[in-house]
Amino acid sequence: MTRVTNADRVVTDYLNALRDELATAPLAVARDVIADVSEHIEAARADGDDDVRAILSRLGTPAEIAAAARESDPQPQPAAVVDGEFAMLAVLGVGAFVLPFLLPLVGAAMIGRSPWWTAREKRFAWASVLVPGACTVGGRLLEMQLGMNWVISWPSAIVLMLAPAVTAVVLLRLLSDRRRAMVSQ
Amino acid sequence: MVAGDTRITALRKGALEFCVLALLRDGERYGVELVRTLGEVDGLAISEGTLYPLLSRLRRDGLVETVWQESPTGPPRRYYALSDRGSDALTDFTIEWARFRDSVDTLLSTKESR
Repeated sequence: MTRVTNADRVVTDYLNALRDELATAPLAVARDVIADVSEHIEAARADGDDDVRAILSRLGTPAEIAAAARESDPQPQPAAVVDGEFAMLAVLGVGAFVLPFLLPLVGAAMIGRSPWWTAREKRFAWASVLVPGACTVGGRLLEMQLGMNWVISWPSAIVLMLAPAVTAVVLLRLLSDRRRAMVSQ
Repeated sequence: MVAGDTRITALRKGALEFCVLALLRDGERYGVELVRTLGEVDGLAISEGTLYPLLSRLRRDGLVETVWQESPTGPPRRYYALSDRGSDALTDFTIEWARFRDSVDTLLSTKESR
């Protein structure tokens, strides 16, 4: 337990030193580098590499990294391109109320092509449209078969509108977390 | 000697970004893996951390693209992949590098045999 705390402190000190050293590097590079190096350390530790000092020594000193960052000459960049991503989420979430099933389906297909979400998150988006969609249609057919009255299809239809909206909110939060990780820190 | 060292460093630096692109030629790679692989290459003499500013620039210049993927052991991770532009740049460099290397080799060996 003490060892974990020590390791955490070593990492925090290292990142703070890096942040100080990067003060004179181009801002966009400095942000990227701090985010990348934090991610590197976190991932190396998650992979079971317990020796934090060894991880840091392979990374090099904060001064070395900052020197490399100052040398890199950034092109003026367009702010992180996520405009399309907001539209996709709107098509998924808001679209469910405008044209249920069909618009969210388009939204899920667009989200499937974005680099900002993982494969599992994309499957989740598809499922939020397809599962309630199938339940609504399948439920209605079953009801007609059995002479029942809307007990399955009606609740499913409500889920068909709500599930994509909820999914869109979840994906939006993931997106803003990831953007923040890249921009600030 | 010192002046020679800094020139060698400059040469390494110039070639380094194409080494990154070359590692991505056969498919996308996770950032840590990419950086580790390059850090272990003998003769490149770089620390892992100094590659991140380079990766950042390659990303901004559109030579590489990043994609988020699930990880079995932690939060989702960013993978690097070669973009079409990066692929073209690598192809051009491969040709130019071979010419450059051959010419330099020829001159170096001429001088030696004198």
